[in-house]
Order: sequence, then structure tokens, then C-alpha cells
Amino acid sequence: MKSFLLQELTRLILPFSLLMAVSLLIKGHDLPGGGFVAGLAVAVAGILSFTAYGLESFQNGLRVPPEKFALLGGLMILCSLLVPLLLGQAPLTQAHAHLGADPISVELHSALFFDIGVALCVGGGLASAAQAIWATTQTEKEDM
Amino acid sequence: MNEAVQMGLATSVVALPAIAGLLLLSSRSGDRAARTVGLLASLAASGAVAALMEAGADDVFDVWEMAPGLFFRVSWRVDFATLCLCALVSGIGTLVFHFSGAYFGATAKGRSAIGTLLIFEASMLGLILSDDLFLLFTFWELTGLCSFFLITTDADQRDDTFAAAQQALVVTVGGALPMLIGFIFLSVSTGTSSLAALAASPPPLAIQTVALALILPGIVSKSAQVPLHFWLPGAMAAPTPISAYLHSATLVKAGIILLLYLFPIVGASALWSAVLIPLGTATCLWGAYRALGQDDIKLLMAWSTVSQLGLMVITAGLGTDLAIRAATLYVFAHAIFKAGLFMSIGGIDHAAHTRNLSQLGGLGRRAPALAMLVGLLAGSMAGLPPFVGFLSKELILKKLLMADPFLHDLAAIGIVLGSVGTVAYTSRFYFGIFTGKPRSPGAAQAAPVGWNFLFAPALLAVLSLAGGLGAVFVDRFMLEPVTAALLGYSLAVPELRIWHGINTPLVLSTGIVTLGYSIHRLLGRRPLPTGFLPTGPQLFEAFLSAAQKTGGAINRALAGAPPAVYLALALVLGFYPALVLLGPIFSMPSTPWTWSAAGLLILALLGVGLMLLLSLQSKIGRILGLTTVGFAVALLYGQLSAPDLVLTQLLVEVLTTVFFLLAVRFMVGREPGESKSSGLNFLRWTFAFGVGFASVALVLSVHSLQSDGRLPDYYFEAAPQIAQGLNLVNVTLVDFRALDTLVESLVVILACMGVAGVLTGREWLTRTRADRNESM
Repeated sequence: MKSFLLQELTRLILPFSLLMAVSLLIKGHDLPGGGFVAGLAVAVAGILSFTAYGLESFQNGLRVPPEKFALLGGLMILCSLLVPLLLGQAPLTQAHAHLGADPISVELHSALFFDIGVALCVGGGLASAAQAIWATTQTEKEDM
Repeated sequence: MNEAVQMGLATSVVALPAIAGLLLLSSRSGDRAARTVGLLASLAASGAVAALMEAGADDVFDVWEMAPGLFFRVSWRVDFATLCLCALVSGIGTLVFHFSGAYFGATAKGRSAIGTLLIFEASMLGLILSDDLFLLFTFWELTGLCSFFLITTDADQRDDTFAAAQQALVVTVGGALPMLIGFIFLSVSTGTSSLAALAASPPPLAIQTVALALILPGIVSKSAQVPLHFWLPGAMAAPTPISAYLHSATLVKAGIILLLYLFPIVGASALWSAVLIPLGTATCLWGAYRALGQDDIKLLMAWSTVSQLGLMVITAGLGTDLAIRAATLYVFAHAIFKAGLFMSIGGIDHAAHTRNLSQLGGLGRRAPALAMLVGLLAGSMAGLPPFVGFLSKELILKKLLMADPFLHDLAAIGIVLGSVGTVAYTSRFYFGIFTGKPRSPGAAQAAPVGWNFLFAPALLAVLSLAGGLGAVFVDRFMLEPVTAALLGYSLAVPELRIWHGINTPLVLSTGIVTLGYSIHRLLGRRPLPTGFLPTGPQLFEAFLSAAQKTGGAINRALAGAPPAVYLALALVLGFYPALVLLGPIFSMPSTPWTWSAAGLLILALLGVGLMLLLSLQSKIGRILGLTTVGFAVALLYGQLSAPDLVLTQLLVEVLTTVFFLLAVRFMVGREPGESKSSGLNFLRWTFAFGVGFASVALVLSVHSLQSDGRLPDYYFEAAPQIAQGLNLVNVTLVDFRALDTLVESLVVILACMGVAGVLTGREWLTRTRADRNESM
């Protein structure tokens, strides 16, 4: 039951939705956005792609199962809990660095690391749950 | 010696044995070196303790604070009392490691036992030195955990070790749970979790009583008081060196030590005596009775430990500074003679290859050195002069005679009868082993016990004797400063002496010894009957199986229930109690309503969505109605200029719709049709309206709470400065309240994994069922 229209639409939308997720994630510290929203966007993109192309090609294309992304995110979050502890500061203390002179300068936040972790947790977790539900309904259909 | 050095020494007291233990456990070889490593680490810890004593350290050292505002700190309370207790633990530890080398030989089992014992020693030392209640609790649980592994040391030889270890763990950890709540209560209501600070300014009486009531289960279970005593004799499944350590100076003393620490903090509560004295009395008498009924001398010694722990609890329960002084002395005296006696039992076992009284006998002629030193230790246990055991018992009796009301009468009965019992079972123990004729070939041809086995108990025996003879010095240089450090002031009491002239305690003591010995003569070697009451392990088994049955029943009742039942349970259990907490909702100040065109439009959209939801029959249609409502809410957020919320709401709405659609696919063909029963429908309507009204009330009540107007201003100012971010929502999520986000993210992972796990598990189940059907 793969629909041609859905597949072509997905092919169009997918890069943009992922790009939007990344931009939400990076800009989140100063503008609307952030890790949670980015995670939701990624999850929507994931669900869209496996409904369009089927579970198998989704999993093959992704190579790593989504729940591993979620676990990686959890690890990143725990790291930002533990690393400040090792450096003798309160847990979850965030650091900031201002690199370069003013015309060309980059702001680095350790909060971004934390936020990427949140995004992976939410995106990976929701995608894996949706995938499991989808897989179950597929097998039910086949059984019937 | 400056402060930094003292702090380092205090830390190394705990760290050295822990590191040595971890090294032994992680290395693959070194069976031969294990004993030396244990000895050296223990000696080094003792050396650090001695250096601190020498420097006269008396301070609280904050080593590390996890996070300002949270209660967990690593900080050591170093004063003369804690140092003396540390010296006891590490000193007896050193002897135990010496003895373990002889007992285990160079085996892998011995190495892992010594490694675990080292970690256990470190946790015990940490427990004694901790100033922070929660650090103390951590070490408390670590001792329990280590004891689990220690009790199962002989799992390759006997199959009862696991059950025994499980009992010990479940009972002590279960008791520690209310204790943790008590610690939290104590520190939240006083604002500090430091033992030193709490002792300096005790909380009000009401708080003391509540805290004590919560903490007592932990103490009662750990120090093996009736009715939670049964794990202690069970723990005798451990090899002798381990029993010698756990049941003399350490594990079972943890509860008593905590009592001594807590006395200045919560000791003013009436609950102190009211609970401790009856429990202690029951334990003391029951332990003595059961000790008279054992054939295995190690079990006899275990029950005697139960009885003597009861004695300590009664004494501490008398709740005066003098009683604390007496209990402190008994803690030390008991640790010394009990460790020695357990180690001697190991020697006897090695020599005669049996531990049963019915097979021993006549060892006095074959092992005179052993007989002599066990005699010294047993004399101390029975409270005979001139041993240190006599001093402490004398002190307890003297304290007792000063008091009057009912509880003290009970305490008096407990102490006197308990002491009679002690004399009786000590006689049974000593004369049963060493006098008479050998009752088995093993006992008749007992090999001589080597000095390797005798050294540690001999040292302890000498210590018992010296402590009694040097009563004046014990008092002046140990007991008096220890009590002063524990209580915070020194007691002006007459010095401890072995001979006070003929007075009431002496007469009582003489009576006790005579009566106890006569009971032994009367009973001979016959054990007292014991089978008339259900034993602790039986009750424990019954409790475990009842818990499993209840859990199974709840599971069966809920496993097949429709989702609506879960929803109802979750709402009732989680939602309505929260409502009660939220106080008056009708007293909220009325704010004038303002209407705008855009707001009205959004409201209309909301209404349309709700109408769709209620009127449509098809599931898909209803889901679309729900989505409409969600988008309307997103618009509302836009109207309130909250772009972050709009974004989130939109994406959440998309995902909810997708998940609903997936769930509907899942439910196709399995819904048994709409329920036609009007009663059930009525119930559903009532419930739906109830939840709806409750949530409106909740929102209103939250709205009516007066918030501190300075808070938003603070965040607006702090966000760019502290967190270098302009988006306040995101800065709050990743920086100001990052801990909340962390926990929420973990919850998201768990929930999603749960969904995936349940569904794949279900698939797996159907597949295996299909396989089974095919194969049949």
C-alpha cells in the first residue's frame, strides 16, 4: 500500500523538515526553538518516511535503530550532569565560550550539547514507539 | 598538623580499605597476597586514625558538596568518639584479616572474601565518620549490600546461604526505607543534614518524635531486635572470620552506633524509652532463651549476640547520659570478646571438625591454650570480674538502680534476667566444649590448634583482661572523652573501678552469676525446647509468598482490563489528590475579562472542534475534531505572544494525531462495539464531567496562587548574563531548570522503550504461541 504521491511528497519535504529541526536546535538559545521541538520535528520526519517507504527501507536507510539514538541522547544528558561534577562544579553547570573577534565570532554553549541530547531522546524515543505500533498493525493486517 | 592534612587523613581512613578491596576484587591473581593486602590496608587505616587521635582532631571536614542547596555532602565528623569507634572497627578488622589468612589459606575464595570484607570495612568506617545524614545512609546501605555478598561466600558448599543473605538484605534494606524518610524529614524540617549541627541545636520535641518514629525501623532491623532479629542467626551461613567481623564490631553495631549518635538529637522524645526498652527486653530474653537451645556453638554465639544487642538497646533506651556512657562501654567490650569468641570457634571447628556440643567435649586437655583464652573471653562475656565485660555490666546495673518508673522496672527485669541467661549459655558453651569426655572421634583426636589461629583471639583476650584490670585508665583515657564527645559535655561521675566495696550492684552481680551457673547445672547439656513458635525464617517465607500472591492477584485483575480502567485509575490516583493539595479556589481575586475579535474567533474554532468531536461517529472524524481543538489552542498561544509554545503545540498536535491514527489502525476489528448499557454510559459521562471540572478547577486554582512578581524580572535579567541566551523558555529548560529537563528526558526514553517493548514482546509471545501450536 505504498502510495506514489506520498513518496514523492516525502522526498520533497524530508530534507526541509530535517533542516528545520537543525535550525530550531541551533537557534533555540536565542530565538523560538530548542531541543524538545527539534526532537518532535525529527520524530515527525521519521514517521513520515516509514509510512511512505515502509518500515524495512526506513530501517535499512537509517542503519541504526531509533531507540539507539534515544539512548545516545540519554547518555549525552547524563554527561552534562557528570562532567561539571568531575570539574568540581555543581552538576549541570553550563559553560559558554566566545570565540573570535567581533565581526566573525562564534558563541559556543555547552547547553547546545545538552539540547542535542534532549532532541535525540525525544526524536529517537517517539520514532521507535511509533515504529513499534506501526509494525504491530502491519502484522495484524497480514494475519487478517 | 594543619586542617588539610587532617582532612586527608580522615578521607584515607575510608579510602584505603576501599581501594585495597577494589584492587583485590578486580585482580585475577594474588590469592597469596590477599591476606597481606588486607592486613596492610587495615593497619594503614588504623594508623591514620591514631595520627588523628594524636593530633587531637575535633572538627567537621567538608570534603565535597555535590550541589549547593541539595543535602548530599561528603564530610567527616572527626572527634574522639568517632575516632575510637574507627579504631575499634579497623583494629578488629586487622585481626580478622590475620585470622582469615589462616582460615581460608591462599584460595581465590579467600581473596574475594577478603576483598569484600575490605570494602565492608571501608563502608563501616565511612558510616562512623559521616557527618551528613545522607552520606551515612549511603554507607549504611553499602554495609548491607556487602554483607549480602559476604554471607554467600560459601555458596559453593552449602545451599542455604542465598536464602540467608536474601533475608538479611530484605530485612535491613526494608527497615532502612522509613529511616531514609526520617532523615529527609529531619533535614528538611531543620534545614541541615549535618549530625554535628543537629546535635548542637536539637530540633523541637514534636519533630524529634516524628523523626525517631521513622528512623527506628532502620535501627531495629539492623541491630536485630525482635521481631526482626531472625536474619542474624541465619547469617551464620557465612564462614567464621566473616561472622567474627560482622557480628562483633561492625554490621550489628551500626544500629547501636546510630542510636548513640542520635541520642543528643532526638533522645528527648518520650518515644525513645517507650520503644527501645520493651523491644530490647524482648530481644535480650528471647536471644538468651534460644542460645540455651542450640547445639551448634556458632549458632549459640549468634543468639547470644542477639541477646546482647538487646541489652545494649535497653541500656541506650534508658535515655540518660549515664546510660549512654554504659552502653558505649558495652559496645566496645562486646566487640572485643565477641570477635575473639567467634574466631576461637573457627579454631575449634578446624581442630575437631565439628561445631556441635553433642559431639564436642574434653577439648580442655587437648588444647589447653585455646581453653585458657576462650575462658578469658567467655569470662568477659558472662560479666565476671576482673574482665572489661564485668565493668560494663556493673555500670549498667548501677545506672539501673538510679531510676524508678515502670519502664525502668521492665528494663531492670530485662537486664537482670538477660544477664542470668548470659551466664547460663556462656557456661553451657564453655563447659560443653572443654570439660567432660569427648563425645565424638573428631573431638577425641582433635589436632592442636596452631598459633596462626590463636594469635588474634589471644590478643583480644588479653585486651579484655587488661581493660578490666586497668579500669581507671580505660575510664580516664577512653570512656570519659568518648562520652563527652558523643554528648557534647563531660559527665562529672566517679571513676570506673573494678572494686567499689560491697554494694548493691556487686550483690546483684553475684546473684546473677550464681543463678546463671545453677541453671546451666540444672539443664546439663539438654537444649531448651524451641519448636513451639513459628521461626523468623518461616514467617519471612510466608511474608514473601503472601506478597507474591497479592502482586499476582492485582496483576491478574488488571492485566485483562480495558484501557478505560487504567485511565480511570490513573486519573483518580494521580489527579484528585493533587486537587486537594491546592487549597481554596473560590477565593481567587476576580480579574476583569477582556474580549478581542481574534480571541472570539479562536473560541469559535475551539467550539467547532468540540462539536466535531462529540457529534461524529467515525473514529477518524473524532480524531480530526481533537486536532482542530489542538490547533485552536496553538492559535491562542500565538495570541498571547508565546511563539515557543505555538511551535511546540503545533508539533505535539501533529504527533498526537499521528499516534491516534496508528492506534485506531491497531484497534480495527477488536473493539467489541459501543457499550449499550445505559448504566455504564452514565458512569462514563459522570467521570468525564468530573475530570473536566476538576481540571478547570485545577487551572483556576493555579492561576489564583500569588506568584512572586520579582521572579520574571529576575529571569529576564539573568538569562542573558548568566546563561548567555535570549530565549527565556529555552534558557530555563537547558540551564536554570536543567535537572527537570534531564529527568523528563529520561522519562520520555523509558515511556517510548516501554511502548516498543510491550508491543514487540506481544509479537514475540504470539509467535512463540504459534510455534508451540504448530509443534503440537
